[in-house]
Amino acid sequence: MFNLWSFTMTCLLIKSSNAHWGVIYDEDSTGLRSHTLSMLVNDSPGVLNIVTCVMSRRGYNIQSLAVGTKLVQQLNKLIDLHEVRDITHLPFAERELMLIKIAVNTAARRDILDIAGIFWAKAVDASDHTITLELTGDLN
Amino acid sequence: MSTMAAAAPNTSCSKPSTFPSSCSKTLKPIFSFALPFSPLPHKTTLHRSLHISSSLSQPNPKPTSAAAATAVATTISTTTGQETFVSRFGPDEPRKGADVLVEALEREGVIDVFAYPGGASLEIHQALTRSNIIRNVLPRHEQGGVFAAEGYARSSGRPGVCISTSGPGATNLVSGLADALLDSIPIVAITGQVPRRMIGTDAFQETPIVEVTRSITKHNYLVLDVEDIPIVVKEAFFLASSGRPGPVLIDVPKDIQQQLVIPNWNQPIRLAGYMSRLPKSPDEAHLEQIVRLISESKKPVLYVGGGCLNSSEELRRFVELTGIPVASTLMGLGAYPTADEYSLQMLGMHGTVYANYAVDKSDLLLAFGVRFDDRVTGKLEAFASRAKIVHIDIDSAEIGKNKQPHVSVCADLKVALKGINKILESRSNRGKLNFSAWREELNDQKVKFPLSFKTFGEAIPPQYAIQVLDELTNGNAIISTGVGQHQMWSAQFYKYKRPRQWLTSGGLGAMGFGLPAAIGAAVANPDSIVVDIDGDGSFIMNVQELATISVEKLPVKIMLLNNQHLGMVVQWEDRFYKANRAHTYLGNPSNESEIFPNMLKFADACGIPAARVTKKEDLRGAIQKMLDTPGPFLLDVIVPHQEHVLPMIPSGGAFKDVITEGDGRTTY
Repeated sequence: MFNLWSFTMTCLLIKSSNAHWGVIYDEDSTGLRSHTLSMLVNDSPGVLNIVTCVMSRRGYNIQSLAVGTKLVQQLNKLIDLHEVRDITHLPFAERELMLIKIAVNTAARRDILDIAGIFWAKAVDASDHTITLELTGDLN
Repeated sequence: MSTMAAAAPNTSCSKPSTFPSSCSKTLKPIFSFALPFSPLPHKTTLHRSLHISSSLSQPNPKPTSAAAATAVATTISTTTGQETFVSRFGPDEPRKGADVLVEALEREGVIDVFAYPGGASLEIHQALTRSNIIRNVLPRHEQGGVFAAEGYARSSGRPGVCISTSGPGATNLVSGLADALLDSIPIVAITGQVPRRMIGTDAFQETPIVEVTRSITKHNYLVLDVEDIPIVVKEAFFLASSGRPGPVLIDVPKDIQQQLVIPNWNQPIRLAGYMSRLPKSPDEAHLEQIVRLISESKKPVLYVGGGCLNSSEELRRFVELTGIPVASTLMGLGAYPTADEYSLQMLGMHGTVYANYAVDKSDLLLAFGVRFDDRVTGKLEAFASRAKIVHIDIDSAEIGKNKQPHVSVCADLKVALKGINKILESRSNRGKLNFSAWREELNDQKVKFPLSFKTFGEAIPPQYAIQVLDELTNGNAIISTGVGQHQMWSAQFYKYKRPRQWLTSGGLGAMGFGLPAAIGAAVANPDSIVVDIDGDGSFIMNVQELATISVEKLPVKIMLLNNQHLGMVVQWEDRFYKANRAHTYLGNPSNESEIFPNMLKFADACGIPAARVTKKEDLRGAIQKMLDTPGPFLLDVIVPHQEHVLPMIPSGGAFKDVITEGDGRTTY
């Protein structure tokens, strides 16, 4: 009974882009446009591979709008996919997370934490010779 | 072998710790659904909005559940006839996974399989011997097995089943799976796999076949829990035959085949996303619009393909009501009778002049169950450039893929045509459609540019051989082919009367398809005449299947159009490479005067009667003898290699580039 509706699923945000992270509303100089797709897929083994296979088998860049639309249609054929949406033109939040492990002895730890504090980084692990910081932010 | 057998009894571990628990975890909870699918899409929407940021929370109004579920329910109910299925096992009797697998096939109505055994699949074969419902036709190569399963499916409409072992057995299925995907043929391929604990260790005969076949199957499964076998098989057959049909592969590790289990046959299908995307019934307004376009048009033409094979009756009715001429793709041959007066026969690269003329001049193209393949369209911009396009297809990804339609309907063509016919019937008293001027124009083209061939002395024109076969079988035989010139001539010169009579590798163009496909057709249609019209190159690619035909006593006739060359490539060499022969001679270069190889001896080696015919005057008698001989027969028809398949629109060309003259006796 516990798991009755917990159809385990993973949300994927797939972004196809090159150097222009974050510039998603404007066309770049090449006339290409990044697309951000949101997908709801079964949590089955190899599902990420199944999705990326659809993109990679075309062999070309998937940035042009026409190809982007076709891509969505091809993704729709995947049995393990519940829903795909092109959210490029919808407002959405996009965040990145970074974990940084620093070799540092206990004597210098305070300095590191001070710098980390300036950048809103959080210590998530420490030992006598390392410290691990967590940093989150938008993609710019 | 003995070690394998000894290992059998003590492998009933229920959950090997070596495997990530997520595998079974993800499957388990789903089983507990009481209702099959309708509630699911609903729930996923809710679920999603919890996971993604709130700015997304405008879930698409999904018209999913009701329509999809009802559409699906009808399909499912055909399989629920298994309520009456009587199992060989008691309800609480543990049995091996392999026995569960075989019973699952039985419950899907399978009576024939094409299975070639090996180390990782012998458990399945042992279980097959315990089944008194399923007959195995033993191919001599796994590729023969999968092509036979395709021939079975193509000729009967029922899913074909092939089984092979792991590693090389599985990789030998690859061509057949790709072929089935490109031609949308429902097959279920089952492969043995090394035991779970050995997966990923480069074990003997291990290939990651699920990874290998990912992009050439509609869907595939690696079974990691013996309890999943019933539901995986049920889903596989449903996926293979619903929506746009296609191949589904099930990879079953050997330890799972051996594991003892009491199966649960009542697990509901877990295909919520897929179900929600199955096409709904077509919108009445769209159908009305199509009828309006038809009544406004002066030069409409039908472009029908493989998607029409189940809607032959509705298509005939539609033509009856409208009088619109019908051009067929290679895959659609037979959906509308080829010899009928409204038929323009095949269109495309090697289509008739009048079919391509009709599309070129038309003002309304009715594209039903087709995908605007490059062999049909040639240069896309020039294809049907004067026409409004109506596209009906079951696969939404095909609509607008190559050509942007003016009106499109994503639906089962059968349902759509029924709807259109109903509208046409209701308005039949108000102003009849009349396209006789247009048909007159096309008839002129038929007279001006008929399909034709020339005769040179005593030599047998290959086209003539097919024409005679058509006459002598009264257009009623099931025809399979290899790939190349003989395939195109078989498409042009045999007059198909009904769908599923024409079995050919269209999208993939896999040589070696003809002989095993004929096996599948003969197994599925024991009372039909089955003729494999083959080329010498294609025939030899699966020549080993002669052994299968012989021992299974299948009445397969083989009419070999033997020109000692790779004919289609020779034709291209003649036309575009100054007739430079680049490894396209298949005879023996050191003795060109003798036919090589001697195909009659292949037949003889398998105890199949055979004959060779070289003169035109002897041909009719030879074909008659082939048809009159009970059981299989090989007729080796020696034909000149200079013949070209005509008409021909060079690839990427347009209608104006059509070639109607010439052969390999001319230089270009």
